[in-house]
Amino acid sequence: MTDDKKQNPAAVAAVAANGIAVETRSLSVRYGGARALWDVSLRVPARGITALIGPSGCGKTTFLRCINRMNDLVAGCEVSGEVLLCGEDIRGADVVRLRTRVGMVFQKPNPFPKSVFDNVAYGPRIHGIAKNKSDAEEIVESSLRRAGLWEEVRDNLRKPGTQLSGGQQQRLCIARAIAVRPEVILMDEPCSALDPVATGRIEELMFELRGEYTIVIVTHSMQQAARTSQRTAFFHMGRLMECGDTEDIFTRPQNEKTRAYITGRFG
Amino acid sequence: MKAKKTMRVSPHANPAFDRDIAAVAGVLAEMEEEVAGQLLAVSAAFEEMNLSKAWAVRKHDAALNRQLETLEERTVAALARHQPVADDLRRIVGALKTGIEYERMGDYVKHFAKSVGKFVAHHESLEVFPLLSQMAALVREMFAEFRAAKNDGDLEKLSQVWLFDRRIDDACHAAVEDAFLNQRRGDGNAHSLVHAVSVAKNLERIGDKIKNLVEIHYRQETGVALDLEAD
Repeated sequence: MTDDKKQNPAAVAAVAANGIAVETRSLSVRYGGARALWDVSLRVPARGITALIGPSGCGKTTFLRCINRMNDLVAGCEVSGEVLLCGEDIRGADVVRLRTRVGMVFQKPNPFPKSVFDNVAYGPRIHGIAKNKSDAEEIVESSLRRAGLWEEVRDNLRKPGTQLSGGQQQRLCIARAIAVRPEVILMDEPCSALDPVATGRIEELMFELRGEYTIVIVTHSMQQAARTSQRTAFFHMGRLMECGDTEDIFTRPQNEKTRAYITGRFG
Repeated sequence: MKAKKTMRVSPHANPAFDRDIAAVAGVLAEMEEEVAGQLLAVSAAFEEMNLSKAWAVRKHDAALNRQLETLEERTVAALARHQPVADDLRRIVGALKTGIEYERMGDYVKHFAKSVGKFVAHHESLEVFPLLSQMAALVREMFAEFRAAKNDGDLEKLSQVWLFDRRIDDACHAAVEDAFLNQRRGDGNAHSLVHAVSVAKNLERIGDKIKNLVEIHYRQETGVALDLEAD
């Protein structure tokens, strides 16, 4: 293997010091005249799963997209406040570098129209993590193993990624995300297009990855949030209403709106 | 105590959930009514030393067992269909626990009724009987206060019901002591005295069960345990 993960020593030290991978301070977002997020201050602990829940349009995906500056691409979008990744303000960060540190998995699996192998090797190649064929092979295998897909595709690495099943495609996307060794993985409803069995595989994978990565997941499934995460944040109309240990949120929520939402009294 | 009233409950977005919870609550209400009726009936059988009334109480206990089965089916269905959380989950779990307590209370009432049968068979009228009557009245009062506090959603009143159990414990000690004194004096046959002690213990256990109901209901409504031991 080539040089190992190139982490910023200051960032590593920052996480080690306070255990926080992502922190937002008074984060607000506007789309044109509409305000999507209002002064959200939230701390996401490192190496664990934080679930973002709330009704449609509450700002959870907008919040997620702020963590790797995907909102930069949205016309008319204004972001104010701070987003700190391992203690560093991401506003001045190089976006390409930022996105190697913060991977993203989307609602619908979106493999590249390339082979399984190339889907995973693409990122490490363009970011210089894989310097030769041997590096790429090693990264592809380890990433696919960690994504729980290796045994299923090892004999079909040249097969197009798009020919895999929906659940396999999503695990391929996760393998692609972890191939560039991010610190944070953002997941935007990663199981919404999957059947219960494939969903179970993804959740199990998240469980296995949580010791190594900071995972932030947006989900509309209360049960998924309760099953997979250690921390849960509830958003409502662009505001962070409550954030706490998942067990507390789902058994003894403090905020009346949180209680009403998780018990299905509005949505 | 900070929380005085139970929480306000608004309907679910999915009305089927409310219907399933109402179905659970309906069975529970029937069981509660059944227990109250059985307590009253066994007290009357004891006061009147009426064998047929005692027998009717014993026979009627099967109704509570059937209701518990229905409650189990409905709670399991609600859990499976809606996967409730927070106060909904506590209500469903609390309903099941409450139903089990009611069913046990029914068993103790049945044992009481069996003892009434023995007293009638031995034509006994022991000195301890008035104490047992008072104890039965206390138990009925405690249960009635539990129902009132629950229906009013009054958590403070509920705590008072919890403390009420001490009166029943004291009454039980007095009754058992009296029964032993009866025995030392050679008053009444041993068999009846054993049954008198058994009635006192059954009533004392019903008091414990009502105390459990208070704890279950308190946790269900607040999410925290009722802890009055330190008070």
